[in-house]
Amino acid sequence: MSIDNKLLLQIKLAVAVAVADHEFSASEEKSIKEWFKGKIQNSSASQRNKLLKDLSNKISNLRELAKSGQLELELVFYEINKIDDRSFKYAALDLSIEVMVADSTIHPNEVKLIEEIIEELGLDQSTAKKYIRNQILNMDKPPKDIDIEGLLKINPSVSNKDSQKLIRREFDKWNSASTSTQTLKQRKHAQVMIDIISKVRERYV
Amino acid sequence: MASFIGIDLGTTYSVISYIDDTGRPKIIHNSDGENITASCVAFEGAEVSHTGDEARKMQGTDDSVAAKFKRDMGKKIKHTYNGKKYTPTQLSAEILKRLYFDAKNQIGEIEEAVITVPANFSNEARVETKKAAKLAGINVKHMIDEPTAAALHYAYEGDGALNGYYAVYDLGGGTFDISIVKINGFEVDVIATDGISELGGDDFDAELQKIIQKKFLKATGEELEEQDFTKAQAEDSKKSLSKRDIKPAINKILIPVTRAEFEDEISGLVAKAEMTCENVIELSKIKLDDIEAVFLVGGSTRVPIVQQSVKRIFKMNPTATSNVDEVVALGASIYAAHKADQSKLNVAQKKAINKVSVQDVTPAYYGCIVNAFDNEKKKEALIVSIVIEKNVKRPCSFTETYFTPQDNCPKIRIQITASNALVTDPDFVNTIVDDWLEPLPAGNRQGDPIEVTYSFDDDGIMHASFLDVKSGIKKEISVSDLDVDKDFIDID
Repeated sequence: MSIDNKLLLQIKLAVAVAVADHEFSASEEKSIKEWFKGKIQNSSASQRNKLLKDLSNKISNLRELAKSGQLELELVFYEINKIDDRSFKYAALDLSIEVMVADSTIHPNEVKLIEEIIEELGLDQSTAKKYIRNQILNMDKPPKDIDIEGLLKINPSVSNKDSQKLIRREFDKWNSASTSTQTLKQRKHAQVMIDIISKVRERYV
Repeated sequence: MASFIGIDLGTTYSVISYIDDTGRPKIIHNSDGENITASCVAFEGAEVSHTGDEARKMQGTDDSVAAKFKRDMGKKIKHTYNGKKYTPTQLSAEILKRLYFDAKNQIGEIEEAVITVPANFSNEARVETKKAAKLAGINVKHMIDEPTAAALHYAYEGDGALNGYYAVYDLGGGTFDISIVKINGFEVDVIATDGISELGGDDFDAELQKIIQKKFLKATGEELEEQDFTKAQAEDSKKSLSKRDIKPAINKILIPVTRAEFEDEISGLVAKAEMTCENVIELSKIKLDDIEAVFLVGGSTRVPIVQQSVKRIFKMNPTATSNVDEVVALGASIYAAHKADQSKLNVAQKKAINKVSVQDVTPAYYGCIVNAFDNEKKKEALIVSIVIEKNVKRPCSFTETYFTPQDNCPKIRIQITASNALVTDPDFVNTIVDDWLEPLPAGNRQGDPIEVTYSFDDDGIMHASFLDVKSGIKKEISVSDLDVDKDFIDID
């Protein structure tokens, strides 16, 4: 018994994102496994054990392939696009984002890869951004080392004035979340995000 | 003669004022002879031993001192002192009791009291502030947003000569508010307002403590204990830094700190205020050139880097013609007289007050969570549908119609949300009410209309009603009636 091909495609993307920052953390691996457990919860106990064992092997192999640059993402994109199911594409993106934030950091390489996934699968940028914010809000630990510039697509071609505007709009969302979210943990995460964002802004004044 | 008081219940300091017989607002000093009272409460056993400055000085040396609890108003949090648990509301009530006691001692019986709240205070925090006043035995009929009260005072002080758009920049001990207002004589019309719930002088003090801690560690190799450089000392040192570099002696070691070092450390905090100012200017749709002046409010506006930041954003020097610690309370007492039964004012008071008019705005976006088809993800999803937008003139009332999702729907879930930014993600809003409209009559059909009406009163408190149009079944909710005393989290 082996993992369903659709699930495997999602796992391949997730592992690629996890390895993008050159470090496949235990929390990233755990988030893939937790997600997978949810997907196989209706299988029998023995089937679940076999599938989980298969998953561990697959993750090990995929990690090595990704590290050595041999994980053919073009092929993964091709396979996902062939399925032509928008809901499934978003599910794949959602898992990749969940894995990206699992270690409470967002590395520039991870952002680049997420951007590539959005573009290759023809998904909506703002929907993806909402999902990233949502994941940050619900991280286990407070966010740290978040590549704000990457997430906001601030690069040398963007003027300081426009960069400030992008940063301010992001700040506004987190400032609101610092008083308007449901749990103390979420409000604390939002506070950390406004600290991170206000420090980034100083670079564009 | 009846007395009308205004109370600025601040995060670090509180102030109380009244309208004198000539109709002028005056500060009431506390029993220590000070115009401002530290918002600190010290406990001895289960009893309050000190409130005000004595309690403030004990911070850092005594674990049984409560401070900064205003930041937790409306949150389901309890603080423990000497084994006894207190809500932020109860702690605020202790400060209000002290202010009220001092006021009554000086001006006698009080007819009408107005209490101020930060412009971006949540609905729950507003409700809890009113509850705190009640616990303190104060009859608070109205509340006013802090920057609005300050604007009212500036208009009053200008003797009706102000005319045009003004910015009110209010950086206190714990919160930051920025409002764009239109003043025409004695009329104050709020155009847009925004704020940060956790930004103020207290955060500046914490940064200064960090600088001192780092330098002390570098100089001695030892960690600095909190009692060796307390919050109160940090606050005093910060005030000195506004004028010159400092060299406080800590455990017999001089630790030099320059103003530049301090400003570098707090620049991230100032950046938060700058972004909020830019945001509110955009929200107000007023051109920067059309703003006549920027009025400063709150003690933290004395910090030079803050004034430079205001100048940078608004392209003009800020104005502080009054004592920035007192303007909110002074404006609140004017508002108290304005909202009072006018037959209780004397001739001079009436003459002074009757030109006053205040138009405030809704403090947040209020909506409800509904099921909608997500075109992007091609599936049903929960989203926030906004019923009342932020910065709408209040009092106000808006109705939206939604539809039952299926035939024979037994009940409809009511989730009222609030947020300071325009967001549609249910995770990014505060669900302030989670209830049901029930029972819906049998035989109802998919697509039957449900009318949702949200309204706002003068005090910034929201009321809602949910109506099944066909059956007439209705649920009315006043957010001030909600029980926010459940599900508390203890914080030691």
